[in-house]
This record gives sequence, structure tokens and C-alpha cells, in this order.
Amino acid sequence: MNLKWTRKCLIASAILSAVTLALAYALNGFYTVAALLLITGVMWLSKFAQRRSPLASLVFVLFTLFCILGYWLQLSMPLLILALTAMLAAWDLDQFTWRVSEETPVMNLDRMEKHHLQQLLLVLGIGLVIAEVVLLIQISLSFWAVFIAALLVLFSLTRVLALIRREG
Amino acid sequence: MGRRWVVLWLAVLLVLTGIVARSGAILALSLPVLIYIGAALLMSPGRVSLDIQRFQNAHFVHAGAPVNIKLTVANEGAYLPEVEIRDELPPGLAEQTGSSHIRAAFDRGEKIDFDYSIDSRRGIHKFNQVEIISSDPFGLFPQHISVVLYNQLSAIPAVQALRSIHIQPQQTRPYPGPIRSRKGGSGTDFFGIREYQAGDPMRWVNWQVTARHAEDLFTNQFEQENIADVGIIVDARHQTDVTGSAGSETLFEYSIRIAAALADAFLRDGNRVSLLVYGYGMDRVFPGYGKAQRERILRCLAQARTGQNYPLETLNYLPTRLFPARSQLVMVSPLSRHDAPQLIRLKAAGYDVLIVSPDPVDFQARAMADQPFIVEAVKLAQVERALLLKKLFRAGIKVVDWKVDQPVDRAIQTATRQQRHAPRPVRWQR
Repeated sequence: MNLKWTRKCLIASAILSAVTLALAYALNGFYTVAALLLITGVMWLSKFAQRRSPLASLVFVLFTLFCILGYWLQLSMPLLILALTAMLAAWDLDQFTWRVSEETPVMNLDRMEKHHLQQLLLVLGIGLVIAEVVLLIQISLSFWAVFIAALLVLFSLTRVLALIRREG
Repeated sequence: MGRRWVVLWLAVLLVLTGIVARSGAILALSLPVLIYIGAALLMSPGRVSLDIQRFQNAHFVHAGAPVNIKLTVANEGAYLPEVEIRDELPPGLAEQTGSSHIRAAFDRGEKIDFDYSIDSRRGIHKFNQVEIISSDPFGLFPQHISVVLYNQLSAIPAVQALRSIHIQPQQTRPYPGPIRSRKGGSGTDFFGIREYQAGDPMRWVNWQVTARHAEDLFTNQFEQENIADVGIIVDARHQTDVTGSAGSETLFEYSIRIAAALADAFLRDGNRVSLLVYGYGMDRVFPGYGKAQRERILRCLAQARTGQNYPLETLNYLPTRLFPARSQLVMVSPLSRHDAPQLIRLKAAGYDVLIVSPDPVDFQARAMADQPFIVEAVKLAQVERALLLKKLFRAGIKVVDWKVDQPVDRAIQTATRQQRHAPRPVRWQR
């Protein structure tokens, strides 16, 4: 199984995510947490090199929780968004790697890899840009407007969850 | 938890935290995740339209022969970023080379072939469907589709060529064949002398006997050689089957193979052969001749399996009406100790009974050779079996005691030759 570009992108995303999140914490003086995050990133990468995958989802959840915690600690939000997006990319690429490395032989692997990387880059690039732009926009909404918008998002998500449950 | 649940619950967590904290920043943090999920939903393929065809290089093979299977998949719909195609193998079959499942990305109109080979086991194997799992590029929303694609593979038992088997049933059929019929007529073996009848060839005249009589001519009579009705009974009772060492075949597989070889040998000699598989149910092939009958019998044997059926645990319900009166019965069975009275009853009813018995004691002893006290246990079981076989032999039943690691042809020839001139059996009496 080749997946040369996927592996490179995965390692780059994981390093970017760990370094960015650690930097966000380090800039505010949380050096221990920063070191912990860097160690976690390195551990995950070493496990990935040893072809053991279950850590990916755990690290993804952990980094997301640290991003949420970072908000309350008033860390740099652009860095947190970048870290989370990079971690999402790393997590997705890790899953993709394991999916195509199963015992099922893959045909057109190069094409599949190329399409996957293109689409992931496009989608997360758009997501990152929108999220960073949203941080710059300062509009004041009433509580009820935010509440209704959030409810709509939650409703959509629950619909997606229900759809998945029905299919599963 | 599945991978898609991880990302979905994280999105829910971020949005909820954003609402609770009334923070636009946290909602912004959730945006890449939400856009990722939304893109996966948008890019998930709608209707999957794949044209799948399955080709086999053989539909009718001998068990153990490799069969190549090729699948051709053409995408007649939109681009599919990730598709897994799984050809569902019938139970008991496994891939030998290649793979029965692939993962691929399909462009519109693209065609992909993949093939694999299987090691065919005895049986009628039905390929029913192909499983398709199509998902979005991120693998979050897989869609499962089953395509009905029916193929059948008949793996008949391998047939070992046996030499002609000597049988002598009381009743033969009125067509020429290799079996001595105990009736005078045209043949090769001397049968008796009778008075000359118009039409007898002169070379049949027995001049020595004629010389002793003044007026009459006497001719030699020869024993007619005819074909016979042969009924083969395969014992498929669960309690007589024996499992060997782990992963090896059961004794029933040997019974099937020897039944196939016997059917082939009797049909090759021109006999009318029928089959009964007695055990789980009663599968039967009615009497017939020739190659078509051989194929019918092999197909029936291909499907035969052992099973538990309480009424058929003994041979009490053996349907003898299936077999013509006083014909030859060949029973392929490891035998259980309760079978002797029924078999003797068959002999008493006029059937000529030949039993080919794969030795279950020897078969299991080899599988359990490393266990303690096995030597004593085997000795006891062998004594019990020897007594059973002797009881049958004394009743005039020919028994082939076959150790499955030895050539069956030699065992049959030895047994039938030894017993050809055996003393007349003690008749069974009530």
C-alpha cells in the first residue's frame, strides 16, 4: 500500500495541530499543558507508525476538549480553530489510511487518494476560512436569534444522527 | 463507537457549548466540523447504479477442483468516490487465490474486473448476492445495497475408478451383462446338459454324452450372464458419523466417495442402479442406467449431509420397497451395533447384501492417538466391531471392512473374492 501523500499530509496535519494548540497554551503561560499536548501528538504519530490506530479518535476528542477549554482560558481563537481543523484533517486521513489498508484490495488507489486529498483540502480549507472570517465579524444578535439559529443547527444534526441510525 | 459518531457528537458538543456559553467563538470553532459533515452529506452518492456480472469457468466440477470466478462491475451512474464490492461466498467456500471483495473509486461509465478462485467443496453451492457499500469521500455515510446475482456451482464427489465388483443377486434383469444369473442359456460358463432342441448350434452338442445314448442328442447349456438391479444405500445418520482430527474430513465424506465409486463401477458394467441416502431424510434416485443416471446419483451425493432424525436412528424404516425384490443391495455405512438385526432381515427377505464399511474405530483412533488409555479403548471397540462384522458374515452378508487409509478397491476385491466361496449362511429365523 503506497499512500505516500496521505501519510505525508497526515504527519504534517498532526504536527501542525499539536504545535498550534501547544503554542496557544504556551503563549498564555500554560507550559505543562503545551508539553503534554506535544507529547500526545508525538505518541499518536509513533503509534501510527507502528500501525496501531485506535488512538486517533481519542486524540481527536482530547484536542477538541482542549480547544473548548482554551476558550475559557482566553487563548488565541484563530490558533485553536487552526489546531482543531488540522486535527480533523489528521483524524480523517488516519481513518482513510486504515480503511484502504484493510484486507480488502483497493483498485485505483492513486486516483482514490488524490480525490480524497483534494476534497479534504477543499472542504477543510473552506471551513477554516469561514471560521476565521466569522471571528472577525462582530455583529450583535439578540439571545433569541442566537438561540433559534443554534436550535436549527442542533435540529439538523439530530436529523443526521437519526438518518444514520436508520441506515445502521 | 463508530468513527462517524465521534465527529457527529463532537459537533453536537461544540454547538451546545457555544449556546450554553453564548459564545460566537465556540460556534466558530464548530464550523470546520459542521462544514466537514455537511460536505460528506452533500457528496454522498445518491442512487448507485452498478451493472455487475459474475462469470464462472465451470458450473459442474469434481470436489476439490479450483473454480475461477470473475466479476465485472460497470458504473452506469454518477461518480462514486468509495465503493466496496463484496461477492458473498456460499457457506463452506473460501477464496484460494485473489479476493472476492474490492474497494475502488468509480468514474461514470468505468468498468472494473476482478477475479478470484475457490477450492470447491462437495455440495451444491449457491451464490446469491453481491454486497455493495458505497460512501461519501470521507466514509461517514455508507450506503449498503444488496444486488441479487444468482449462480450455482455443483461440486460432485470425485469418482475413483474401481475394478468390476463381483455380485450375485438372486434376481437379475433379462438383459445381457456381467452377472451370472443362475439360469441356463447363452453364456460362457458351463451350466448343465439338456436334450437337443431345434435351433441349437451344432458346436454346443455334447458328443461324449450323446455317444452314451442311442437316439438322442444332448447339448451343453451355459449360464446366462445378465445385468442386475443394484441399490446403493448411504448411511447419513448423525450417530454413525465420526469426526477425525481437527480440520480433517469426517468419515461421512469417505462414505460419499466410496458410494460414488461404487455407483460408477456398477453403472459401467451396465447394471440398473438406484441410490438412497438414509439419515437426516431419505434422498433417493430411482433406478436407471447409464451416464445420465450416474450424473443424477452424483448430484444427489453432492447434496448429501448427515443429520439427526429420531425415527431414522435405526434401520427399521429402511424403505425396501424402493428396491426390486431379491436384488443386490450395497450399503455404505460405518455401522452401529444395533444395525445387525435389520441387515439380517434384509438378507432373509432375499436381497443379496454387500456392506462397505469404513472403519470408524481405526479412523477415530488415529485422530486421538495422543490421548491416554486410547489403546485399551480402541482394543475394546475393535472387538465389538469384529463381533458385529462376524455376526453379519455368518448371516451371509458380504462385508468389506475398509480402513480409510488403505485402497478401497483392494479391500472390495479381497472381501468379495474371499466370500465368493463362503459356506451358505445360516438363515435368519424368527
